[in-house]
Amino acid sequence: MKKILFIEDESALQKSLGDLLKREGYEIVSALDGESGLKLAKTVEPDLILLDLILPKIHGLRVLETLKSDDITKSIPVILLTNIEGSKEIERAIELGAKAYLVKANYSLGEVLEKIKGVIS
Amino acid sequence: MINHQLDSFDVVSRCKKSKIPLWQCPTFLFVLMGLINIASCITSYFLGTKYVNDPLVVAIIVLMVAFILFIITYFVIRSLERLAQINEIKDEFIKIVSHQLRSPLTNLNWAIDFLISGDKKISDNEKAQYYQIIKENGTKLLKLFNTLLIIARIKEDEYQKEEESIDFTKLIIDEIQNHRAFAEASNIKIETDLGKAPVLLTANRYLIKTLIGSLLHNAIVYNKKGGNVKIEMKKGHKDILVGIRDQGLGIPMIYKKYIFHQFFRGASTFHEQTQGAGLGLYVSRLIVENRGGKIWFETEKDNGTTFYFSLPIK
Repeated sequence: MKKILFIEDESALQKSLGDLLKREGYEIVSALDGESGLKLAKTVEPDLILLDLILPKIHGLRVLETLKSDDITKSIPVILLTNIEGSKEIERAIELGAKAYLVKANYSLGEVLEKIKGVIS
Repeated sequence: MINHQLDSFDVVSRCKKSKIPLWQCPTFLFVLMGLINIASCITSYFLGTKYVNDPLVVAIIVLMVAFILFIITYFVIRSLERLAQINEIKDEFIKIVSHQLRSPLTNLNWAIDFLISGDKKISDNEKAQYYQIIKENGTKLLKLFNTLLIIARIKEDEYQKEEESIDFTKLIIDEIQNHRAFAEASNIKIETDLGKAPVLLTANRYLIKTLIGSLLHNAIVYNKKGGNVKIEMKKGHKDILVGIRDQGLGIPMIYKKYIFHQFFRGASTFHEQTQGAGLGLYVSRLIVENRGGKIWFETEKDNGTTFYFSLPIK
């Protein structure tokens, strides 16, 4: 079973997307802030990380930077899932090695699932 | 720190931030007008020494040219500064409000997507959890819309036309009741000292309810774990004084100037609380000042903050 680490501070999104992914047969590990997300990424070593940008304690881009500079986590694919649509953020995320940058409001739950399947496969 | 200081000299990037043409950018114009000022002083000095014999007259001419140019510079930059400020506020408004609108809308959409995805395995208990998500996020959106409407309409007469005699004591108690579940979920206790006699006030019920709700919400959200909120009210001869105290981290004094500004959220606050548009205290200030009152706060590091407001009794 493939493992997905979902770093997101909105519990409502954790629930809807988390429930859908569980139903699709993925194992979900959740973190509500950047700090615990980083810790879990090292201990759980997931197959994919879904990462929000606006997070308590450590900003999403900083989390991504740390993940990509650590030997244990640098090869884990990361999808940015955020409602920030700034070109600066998108450029920086791609530059740091994110596989995709999705603006949550522009995607349905089903479309996000398809993107995740595309990256994780 | 040094980088920050150097950034303030980076004219082009400062102008880009304001998203206005370079020739309208106050920082650029400040530098340009400064150079023109210097060049004009030097030119008038050389012209003065060539055509006027008295050095005192030359000095007066140079000083007058410098003074006139200084006044022109001041007024040009002042008016363009306002333009740049409006542009920055507009950008901040779009950025924050779009994020604060999108988040609950996404929560709603995805919850509905999950419910209508046709899976019959969703239990009634699980459905109830999704209905709760829909309800909470609908309320969040409505609150944000109402806040934006107050900001846009506060100066209009409509709100004053809707003024009525309200039992202020009861309104506070009702608002505490509305926040009770949220406070308990956050492990926060709410205490009151509202005096014995009910206090009557002529005001717009909706605005006063928004004011109390906003300050109470902040006192719960920014409190320490297991902390208390205390609401006190005193009635004077001419006005009512209300204090809402939390036991949070306190507000650094460097933020004092900005705390009632729109979209302001302290860095340390944002570090822990990512939700919020930074409009609650701004709207509170608008409501209080529009009703002829005052709003302020007292704070102590690691020992909490008390927000006070006074309203004249009409």
